[in-house]
Amino acid sequence: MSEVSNKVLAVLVALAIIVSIGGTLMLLTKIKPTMTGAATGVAKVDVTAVVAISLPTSTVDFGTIYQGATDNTTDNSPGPLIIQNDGGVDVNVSIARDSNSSALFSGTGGGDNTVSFRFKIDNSTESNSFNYAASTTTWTNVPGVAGINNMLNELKYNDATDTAEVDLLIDVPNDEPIGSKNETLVFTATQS
Amino acid sequence: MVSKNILAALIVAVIIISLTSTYTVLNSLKEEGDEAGTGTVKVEVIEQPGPPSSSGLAIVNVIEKPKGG
Repeated sequence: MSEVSNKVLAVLVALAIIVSIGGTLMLLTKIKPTMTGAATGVAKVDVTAVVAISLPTSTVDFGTIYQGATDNTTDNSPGPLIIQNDGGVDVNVSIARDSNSSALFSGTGGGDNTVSFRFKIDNSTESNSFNYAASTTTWTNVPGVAGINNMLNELKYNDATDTAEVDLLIDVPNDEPIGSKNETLVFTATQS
Repeated sequence: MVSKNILAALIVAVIIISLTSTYTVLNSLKEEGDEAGTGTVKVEVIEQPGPPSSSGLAIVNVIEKPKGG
């Protein structure tokens, strides 16, 4: 078998050079569009809506009162409860008697959901804090533990307009046993 | 007729070009890769305010109604 001539070898070598350079250029061209210096990605952060309320004024002390007498907080003596939205979203608020507390009065006409103990929502010094038309703004019997939902509607969360008054009215039964009485009310907020 | 020396030079050239090309490609890939894949996500967690419920208290002291005269 005769050896390949030097000329053929030279052609093959030249071909190898062309293939090598061509291959490299093709490789670079192929890679370039998919490789960039700027990495992109997505960072996902879930922010949970915070629903929180407090009662800056949490006690209404009617003081000493006669059997059969009535009083309320609309004259600010004593002042009403104040509800404040401390969260990051508008809220609706429900009212209920605390299950660990008894009804305020036990005489005739006393107990849960009677005219002896009523409430209503009113504007605080921060007006336009809530949806007045959709809230309970007329005297309504304070419920038992079952409660009343959304008695305060769309209480805003911005600091300048995030409070509402809860006025209370007592109408002491004529035969109410004398002594100190109290009832704890629970206010629960849900996102509007 | 190509001389043996030229043939040898051509072969050496092929080797050098091949190595250079390979080095260039690898170096290029390395540089591109180094610039990608780093980032910082910053999240500030603040204390959650109070609970969604709160309680209020009504207090009254009832005394005997005065007798009517």
